[in-house]
Amino acid sequence: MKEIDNKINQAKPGTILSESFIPKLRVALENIGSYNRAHPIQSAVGWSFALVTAVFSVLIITQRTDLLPDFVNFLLSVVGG
Amino acid sequence: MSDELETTSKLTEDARNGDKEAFISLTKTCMEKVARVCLYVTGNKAIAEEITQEAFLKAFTKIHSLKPGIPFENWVIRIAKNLAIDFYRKNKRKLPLDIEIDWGDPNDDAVVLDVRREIMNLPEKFRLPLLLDFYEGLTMGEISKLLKIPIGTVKSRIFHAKEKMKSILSGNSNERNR
Repeated sequence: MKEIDNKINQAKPGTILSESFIPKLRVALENIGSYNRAHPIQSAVGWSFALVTAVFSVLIITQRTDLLPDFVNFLLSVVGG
Repeated sequence: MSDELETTSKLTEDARNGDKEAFISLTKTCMEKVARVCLYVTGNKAIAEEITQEAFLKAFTKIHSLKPGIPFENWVIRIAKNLAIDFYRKNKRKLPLDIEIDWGDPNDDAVVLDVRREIMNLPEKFRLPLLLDFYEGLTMGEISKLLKIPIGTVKSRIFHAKEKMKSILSGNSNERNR
């Protein structure tokens, strides 16, 4: 068994990653971090849309669809100023 | 607390607060180990690098969920291992992976390449515990936590993996001697 252990140990990999790994990661991190700063309006619209969808879902799941017209009126009043 | 551990804790805290340079420094401390784990699963250096990249990006976006006291390295390795296994299972039937046995050292001889080829031919459930034990020096407990299998299963899989390697490699050398 000792011989097998030695053979396996000798086959350990060397360096796997290329030199471009960190530069590529840096660029990708910049892209992630800059989205909310570079696109604040899209980001806000996205979150608002998600919130509205969540409220609709909750009303449907709790079988309070009777509140949907009130909720729609509320949204229209917000959008209409 | 050792200096290295203290530095890693500080970097983790800074990365948690959105410091990208701290995150990059943290990445440099363990990126090769993470890449090797991906390689053990996929057997392909280029794919392992892609998955490693994806794992660190995922780690950056989820760093708030890293619980205090859990080492960053172990956490990223778990993320990478899960991504690699997902990739491997989705792709191994669709397109046979191009398994490479050139793992980074140009001086590797034929015996080493043979051993690697046979290691990669082992089923994934035997291969991963074997390599985490042999090459990463993880304890049985750490392998058990990482792979989410009992310690007894880890030990038996390593034992069976070594038995398989022994029978394959002795068979190969007999054939070569003939």
